[in-house]
Amino acid sequence: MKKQLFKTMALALCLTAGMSAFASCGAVERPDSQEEVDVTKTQLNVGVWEGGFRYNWLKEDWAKEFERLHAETVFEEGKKGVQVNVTPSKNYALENVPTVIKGSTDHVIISEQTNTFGFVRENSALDITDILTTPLTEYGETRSIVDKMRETDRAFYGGLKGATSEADYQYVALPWYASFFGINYDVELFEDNNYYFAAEGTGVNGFVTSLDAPKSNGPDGKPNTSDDGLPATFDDFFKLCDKMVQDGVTPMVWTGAVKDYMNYFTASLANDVVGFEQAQLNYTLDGTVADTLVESIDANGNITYMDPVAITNENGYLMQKQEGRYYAFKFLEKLLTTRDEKGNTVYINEADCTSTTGGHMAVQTKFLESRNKSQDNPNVKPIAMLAEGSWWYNEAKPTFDSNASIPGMGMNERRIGFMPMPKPTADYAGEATYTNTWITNIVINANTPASSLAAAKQFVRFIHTDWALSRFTTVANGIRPFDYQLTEEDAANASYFAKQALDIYQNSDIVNPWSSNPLVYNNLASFVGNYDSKAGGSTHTTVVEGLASLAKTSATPALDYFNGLSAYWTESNWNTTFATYLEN
Amino acid sequence: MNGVTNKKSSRRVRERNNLIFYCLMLAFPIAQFCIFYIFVNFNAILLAFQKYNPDGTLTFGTLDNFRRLFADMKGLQQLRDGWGNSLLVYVISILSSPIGIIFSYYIYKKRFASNFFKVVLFAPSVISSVVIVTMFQMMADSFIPNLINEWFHPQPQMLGLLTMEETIFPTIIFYGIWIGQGTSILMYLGAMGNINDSVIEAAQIDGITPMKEFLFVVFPQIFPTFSVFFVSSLTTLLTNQMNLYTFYGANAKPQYNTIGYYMYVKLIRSSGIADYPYVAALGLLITVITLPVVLIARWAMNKINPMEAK
Repeated sequence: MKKQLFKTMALALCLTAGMSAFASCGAVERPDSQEEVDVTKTQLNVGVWEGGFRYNWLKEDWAKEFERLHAETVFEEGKKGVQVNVTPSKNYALENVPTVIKGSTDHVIISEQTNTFGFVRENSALDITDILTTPLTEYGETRSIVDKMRETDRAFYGGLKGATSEADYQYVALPWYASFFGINYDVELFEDNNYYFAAEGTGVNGFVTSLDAPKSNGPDGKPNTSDDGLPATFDDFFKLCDKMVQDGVTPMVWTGAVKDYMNYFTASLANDVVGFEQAQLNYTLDGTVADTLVESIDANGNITYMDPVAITNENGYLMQKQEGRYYAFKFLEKLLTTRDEKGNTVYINEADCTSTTGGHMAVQTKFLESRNKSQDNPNVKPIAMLAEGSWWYNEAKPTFDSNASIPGMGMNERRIGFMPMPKPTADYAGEATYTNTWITNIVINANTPASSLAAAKQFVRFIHTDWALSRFTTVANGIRPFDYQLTEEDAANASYFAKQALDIYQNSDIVNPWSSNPLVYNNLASFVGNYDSKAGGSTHTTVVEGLASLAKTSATPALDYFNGLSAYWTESNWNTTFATYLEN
Repeated sequence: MNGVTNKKSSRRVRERNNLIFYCLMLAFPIAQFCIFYIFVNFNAILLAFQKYNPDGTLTFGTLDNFRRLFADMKGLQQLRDGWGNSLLVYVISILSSPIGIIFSYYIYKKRFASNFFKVVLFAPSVISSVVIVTMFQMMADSFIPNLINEWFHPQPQMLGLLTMEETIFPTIIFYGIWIGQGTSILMYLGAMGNINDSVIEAAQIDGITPMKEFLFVVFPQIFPTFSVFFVSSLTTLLTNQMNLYTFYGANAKPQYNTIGYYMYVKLIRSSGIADYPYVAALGLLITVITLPVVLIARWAMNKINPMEAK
């Protein structure tokens, strides 16, 4: 009897263990697919990263419209029309995606922060060159998807299989969204307090006295452009910060919990200083770097430049000497280390910007709610600017929703703008250059069954029509990295943030901190937002913490940090780390 | 005669069925062991001698990973300080183990509020580590500095314990000790529960003091458990990441890195998996260092086991 009992227990345990194993080998869970399967239609499964952009734009707009447009299309024999099943998944981000999708039943996969080369290496995504290069005539358009892509994106996504000329590009992936990082500002707060610089010879203390007053030319140095009145130089920026502090406003905030973020900010600022062409060399390691490499910097901050150098894989470490980095550190040094007589930071709330608690969304909420809360609570200061990526607005949707009952606080009512980075001095005035933060991908799973393949390819084409691109920006407040404008209807409904971010994307240079150079795409962590520096007897990996730490013992933390970059990436370290990719 | 033959035959059938049953039952765990232990580890050893080519293929027969590793050990602070930090974490965990043993003894003796302490001390071990870490972060980086700023108004204002350079390491160490007590208390308590009551009673009749009872009766009896803890924590000497990833993600300050944390971060940030062979080489080096240490420690613990001596 006792023996029988143990046998039964052992059998039950085996069954349980076996079931767990089989369950884990099975299909990816489909939590959101509540619709019944219509067996008369071709089934198309679309998986999307379950993150800040959410997926209502995919489910309610792209999928519904695709189903409607192709209600009569025969994608497989014996079936008419298509049913799109959308699955949000936490699996579709970071480096494992190319492997994970091999076990997934999703046909089209939309992911982020994944090295595109992984799909090539794992052979887990289909070659989609044909559908990208054929004009979208079936949707009444004359351009192909490739025609709408930027040259840098074409070179990266098309060149991962080794092609070097546009005619030979082979694509396995497409970018999902633009991820540039920078300064977001509360437009209403700026307008209420006249935080705009006045045109030369006008205004009071350099600032406008009314919104109708003529404004300065802004960082681009040109009149009548969207950046008019915004701080043109670092000095302007800190003059504005001083004015804000006088008014009881906290100039800037960022999250201390996600330490990478301010490294991305540094990259944006540094690349903006040197401009698109020179910045891109950091990531292609192929071309001549002009007079932006620093030979030395004297005690007064005067720079002596190196002669122009041809940059290759062999001497890529020299890019650590690019002046943009130094100026970005100088900017952050002032932001971080300017303190009042009591020793507290003036321009930032140090606790918010260093605390490991709360995370980036808590800081977004603090920024969004600060102006309203400050009206009732004297202990709360309005916050003027937030350092964040171009994806954050939709991420903050819960905050907008919870404040929706307050007039002017809704997602489409608020006016939050993206501020071009100020320049080190007026000599650097010019068009803004933005920098993407991470790679995003849209791929067709290599294991897509023949029955769904035609629909999958058609879907990828459809979501790159002008209409679909416009809907993404309007609904998700994000930017697709393609050439498009909002439709008239969307332009009337989109948020201020989305419209301005799209305007920036369409009219600015955007640096991709990656390229189809194998040394770079196989070692992205050494290039994207990497500021490893040896200074003050320590190695620093995050700029903000490094500068704050160096400021305790040094009068020139920015210079120390800058010199520390070259102390870290010595020729010897570069050669050892990237030996595989060097010719000698 | 027929009856005996039938009995034998039915026994053989039963034995054969039993054999099939146990084979089937064991097949799954054995297959799992082969794939997830033997194959994975063997593959990791091979990987240490391979390198990824720019096109994503692997080449075998290289010592490049070890060359780079030894160069990094000289120049990279994460690795240079990592050895010391890992050792320090181990020493502190061993030094703090008497706390767990003493708490266990207190609970074992059923003194005041012992059941309450048992639940409270063990709770962090059963609650999700993310929840516990979030609570601890809130306490260390928000509640404590806010309280001190509110009450004492220091200038400049105090920042979080996990933020200020001078308090980061002690705070992380404190967390490690605190969170580690739950499991050790449970294990030691279980070992103490197995001590024969008559042994304790005999000692008490002889007039033994609580301290002597602990030192000369209880501790020798739980020595095998202590020994297991001592040896098993040595196996994680160089892989323990000191909860740094939970607190700081991939961006803990280099001077506080342990080898385990460095290895983990290197892996998850290895965007092109080009660093996998390098990490495999580090793993192999760790094994080479740790294995003799663990074996010697195990031999030594067996030697000094007071119960064995008897």
